[in-house]
Amino acid sequence: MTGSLLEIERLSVSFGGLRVLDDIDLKLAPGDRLGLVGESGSGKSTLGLAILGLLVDTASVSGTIRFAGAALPIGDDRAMSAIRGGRIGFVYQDPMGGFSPIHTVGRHMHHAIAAAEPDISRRAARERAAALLAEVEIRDSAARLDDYPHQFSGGMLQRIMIASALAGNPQLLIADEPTTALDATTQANVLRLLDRIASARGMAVILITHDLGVVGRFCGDLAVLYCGNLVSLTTVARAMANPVHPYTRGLLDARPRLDEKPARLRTIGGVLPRAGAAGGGCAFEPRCALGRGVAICRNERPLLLANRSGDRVACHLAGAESEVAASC
Amino acid sequence: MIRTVLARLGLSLTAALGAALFAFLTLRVGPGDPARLVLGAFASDEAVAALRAEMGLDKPYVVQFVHYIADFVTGDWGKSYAMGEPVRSLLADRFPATIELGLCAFVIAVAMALLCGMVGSYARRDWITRLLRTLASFSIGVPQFWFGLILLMVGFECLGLFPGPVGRLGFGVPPPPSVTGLYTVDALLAGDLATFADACRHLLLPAVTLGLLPFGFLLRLFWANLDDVANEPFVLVGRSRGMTRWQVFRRYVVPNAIVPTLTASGLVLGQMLAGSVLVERVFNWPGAGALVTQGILQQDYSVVQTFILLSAVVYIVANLCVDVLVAAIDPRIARKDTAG
Repeated sequence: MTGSLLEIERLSVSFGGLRVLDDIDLKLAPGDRLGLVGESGSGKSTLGLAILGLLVDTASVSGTIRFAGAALPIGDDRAMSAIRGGRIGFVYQDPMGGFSPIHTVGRHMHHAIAAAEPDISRRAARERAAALLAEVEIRDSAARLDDYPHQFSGGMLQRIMIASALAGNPQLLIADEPTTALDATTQANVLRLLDRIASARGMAVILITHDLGVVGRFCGDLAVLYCGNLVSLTTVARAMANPVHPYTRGLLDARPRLDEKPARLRTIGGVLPRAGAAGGGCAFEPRCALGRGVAICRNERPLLLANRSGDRVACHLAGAESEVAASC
Repeated sequence: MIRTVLARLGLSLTAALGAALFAFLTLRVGPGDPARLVLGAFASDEAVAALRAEMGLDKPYVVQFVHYIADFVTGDWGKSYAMGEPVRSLLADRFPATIELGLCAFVIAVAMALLCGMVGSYARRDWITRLLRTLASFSIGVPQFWFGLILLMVGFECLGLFPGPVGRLGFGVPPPPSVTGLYTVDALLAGDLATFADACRHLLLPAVTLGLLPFGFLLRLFWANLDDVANEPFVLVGRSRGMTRWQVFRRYVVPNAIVPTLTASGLVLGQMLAGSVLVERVFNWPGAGALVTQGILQQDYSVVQTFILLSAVVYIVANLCVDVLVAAIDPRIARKDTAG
């Protein structure tokens, strides 16, 4: 697979013996948009940080991550610093917290630009910073470089965050819930902006979110994480039309809808088990509408296997599921 | 920035007046009569009343207070009843000595706290953090006079590296021509390096003793602030931009963590300028501490009131500097002042 931008193989992450990510396999081609979805605590943010090599010191990581053909030097922080920013960009969920309150936006931009290109002159860096801010539609961008973060709105800050993530012209952008902290209108604007920039630059994006609506608008592929396991990897279109994995179906059913008015939102019963608490069987079994109590689900770990349509699903009942679904 | 300074200055003056009023009232509300103390138990009531009138103590408190403030501002600090000398000449040598000791201790405490805090927070080796944590606990827990004596025993008696408790300069070394009253500074101004070195050698042990407690306090505070800021999202974001751990630490973590530490260090400075009686005793330092303690016991109003106001002024100037420094670092503070 020479065409892959990112290849994750058997990636596992644990914190003090607790497995937070379990044997993740994932591939991404240049320009791809992958939505990484799961409940809080499913390990989606951990996966993003693992790719960036920014997990805390106490995390133990195994497996390989290949980026643009070469294995990432995960354990070597100095070597990873050269890849972060320059090759892989990152957008954090909370734009207010993502900026040092005592530095101007221009300083932040300068730091990001200088990290990717150490020899750049102050003047050239400032011009680049202004151009990047203009790219994310900040009006009067050159003058606003001297303003402090508290002088911007949340939506503007998130756009500036995107601009600083673009400083090194990355081939991959990892956006960790980039719109969660914003109101609905601003969310739509930021997504539209991200869409335009990613298309124009041919940049691949991993969008980490728990909002399937955002994935539907923005992503081509959908990866679903449950309790540190990748349970489903399909295209967004197929997932929306016919979610094969019962967990994906549950997530889709839990979305609020405009065309019907249920008394309350549908939910998936139960809670996410504690990381590493899963026994020998499928981690979703206790909450699964199809497999609860089924012997094979309880006792055997389902593997992530390709099905007829080319999707990959980790579910013993994935084949039988469409008939069961039709009958209810 | 000018508005910030003015706003703080206004607040500070109010604080100084408050301090003066507090000192004034505390001395007068307490039991005893200075005139009686001066004249002795066997003086006639008429003599005491005459002296009270001469001292102005028969006037209402309000008048006394206004006189006190007006005289302080014009430089007439009154006479010590107990010593029969003008307060000005009593404090002329001693107040600078206290200031020199306090400032030096303060600089050592802050510099070491900043250094150790940064090392402790940045280092990833267990033994370094454990060592520094122990040092912080030791600094806070150890009694000042005991530590001073130990320093003298080791530095003077055993190693002979430092002079004994003989005051500000060695025997036979004349004080430098007085400009600021601080021997180290005056010696440098006069270009007299030998005197400067001697003054420094005499200053170091008492300053370390006096600075130990604030060092421990500031170290803990700064360290905790650094650790807090290191968990802020902007640190993660900075790292994701390709900055190294050190770059992010230097650019984002330290400047953000230093603001509350600076504010606290301003408060500490006030303590150091006033509260060095014990250390002055141990090292025979000719500061104002002993004079003021004696003044309080003898109800020597002018000495105590003047010292308290002088300390308040120094304290205010120091905190004003800190405030300006903080406003220069943190744009949100300067903005709050100009908005309000």
